[in-house]
Amino acid sequence: MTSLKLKVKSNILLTLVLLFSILIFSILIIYPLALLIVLGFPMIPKALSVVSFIQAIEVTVVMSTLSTVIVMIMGTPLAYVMARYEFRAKSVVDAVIDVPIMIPHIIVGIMVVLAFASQYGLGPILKAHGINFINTLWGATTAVAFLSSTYYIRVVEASIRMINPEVEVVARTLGASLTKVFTTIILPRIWRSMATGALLSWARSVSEAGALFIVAYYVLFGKNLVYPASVYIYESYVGIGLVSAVEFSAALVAVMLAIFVIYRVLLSVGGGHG
Amino acid sequence: MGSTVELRDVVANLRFFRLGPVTTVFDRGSYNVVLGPTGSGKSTLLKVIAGVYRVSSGRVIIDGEDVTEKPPEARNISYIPQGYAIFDHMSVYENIEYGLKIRGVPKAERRRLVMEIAEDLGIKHLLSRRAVNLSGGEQQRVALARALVVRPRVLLMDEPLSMLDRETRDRIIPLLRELPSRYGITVIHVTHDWDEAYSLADKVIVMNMGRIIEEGRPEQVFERPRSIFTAQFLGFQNIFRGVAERVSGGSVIKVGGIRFYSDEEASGNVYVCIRPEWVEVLRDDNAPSSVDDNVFRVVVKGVIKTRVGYRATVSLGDDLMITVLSRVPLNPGDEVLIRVPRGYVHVIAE
Repeated sequence: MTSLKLKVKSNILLTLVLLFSILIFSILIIYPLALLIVLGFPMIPKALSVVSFIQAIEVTVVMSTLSTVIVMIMGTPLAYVMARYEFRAKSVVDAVIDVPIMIPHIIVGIMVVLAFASQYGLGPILKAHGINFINTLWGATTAVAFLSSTYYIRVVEASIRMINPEVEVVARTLGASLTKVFTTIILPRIWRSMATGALLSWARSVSEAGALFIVAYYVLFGKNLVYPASVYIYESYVGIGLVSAVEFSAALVAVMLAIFVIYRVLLSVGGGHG
Repeated sequence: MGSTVELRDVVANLRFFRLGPVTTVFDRGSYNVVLGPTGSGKSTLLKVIAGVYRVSSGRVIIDGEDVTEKPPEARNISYIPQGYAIFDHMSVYENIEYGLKIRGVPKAERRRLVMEIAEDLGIKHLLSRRAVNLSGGEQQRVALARALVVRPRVLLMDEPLSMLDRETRDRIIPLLRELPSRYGITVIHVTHDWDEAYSLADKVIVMNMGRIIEEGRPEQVFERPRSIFTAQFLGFQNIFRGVAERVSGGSVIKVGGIRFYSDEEASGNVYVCIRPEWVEVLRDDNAPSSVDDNVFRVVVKGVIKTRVGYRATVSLGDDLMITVLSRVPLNPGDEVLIRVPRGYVHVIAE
């Protein structure tokens, strides 16, 4: 460490570049975050006493958690295949996995409506079975699952790549079936990454607004019509004003941070190997 | 006592590589070394036997039983990859126990078997350790224990010695050599190192470009290879094209204007193969006279000092250069006599 410090000291250019980087980082990331916290945190208790906002958070958490479960079920085998196998259409699949983070979220909303709630494709079939995607938990979950899958898949894929494939071969020859190899060899090494990927994907879902504007501006939740949290904050901003929006924003950030922290603590208590 | 592994016209098509067709037999309880350069398909061959790669055609037969369609877990073959692939999220004990546990062996029995094999391989003191931070030699033994404890019919090893330092290697070679008799297994060991092959093998199989080039006892393959590829790969640095004629007690091969006598009978277009270490460098004053003995007066062109002596390139005249290994120091420009004993002039028909 001392040698690194010496080098930084001895190199003026490097020091300048570093200072400049820290300056931009401070203005761009730290300053807005700090301001929100400083101004908003005293108002959090008030925000959290608003019933409609609590409902908004509830809907958002349920939607994001459902979405994360779907993403994990879909993404884990896909991540394994992408990490382990070479096949002809691999680059195509690779590109498709990245599509959700590449295209505008409003368009994702349009796509979900088109695919599941229009006169085209699956729309009529779903309608015939009474399944409605517009302004329901179904639609909201589908939209955010679409948008957040990339994060999970990439994180898990990277962690599977870290495992020497020969380890799996050895386990196979020692008598383990494919399923056994996954549960005894792969899972113990990737569950942490799965947890991290799930959290990323979950946070991404909580944050979503764009696609929800189209698919589920409000969600029929129980007997109530509830705005997802992001939409709720948007509504309070355009309807009431900046101060109100700051209040709810700080509250949402606080709730998410609390969930992150609890999750991390549970993970480390979960112990094992990492 | 181990199993017979038979490959019949095995072809495996991988994305960038084609193995085979390969046909060979690994005898029951024998130590087999598959030798070949990088990319020759030797590791692929192991994985085909292990069942990791599906064959496109041909049959893999173990003890008369066709296992071609069987998955790796149903073949009762142990495999030790290059780098050993120790399960580093487990302890050494759990590593060795793994195969027994998967097979549903009761706990007490597992304990007994793990202890027994650990004792046998001298790694009892490692059992409670996490499997990270083991030395190369320790990993090697843990991998062996893990592979052997399940009593496989066949043990496959990919470059088992390449990650070890020389000293560890020399200690482990006798242990490997004993594996077939001690554990009743057939061993198939893949390497590119011919010293290793020579020390260990009952049978050597030379591969190149996905095919078996030649196979046989190590002495035969090393001293009388049947193919030019093998000769080149196994260190015959002097290989010349020539025309052979039969004479009594062998043949004479003309390479340009130079004649080599050999004990081997040959005629027509041939390759003459001579190992540098078989060429004797003579002192001028005790030069034998008979031309039959392949004695040449040569000029030293270049010399490289090696651990085993002076590797010199010498000119026989007529544009023919030959590499020799001399124990006495040589210098470029020196004129010396060399003798290539007739018995060591190996001839391969073109």
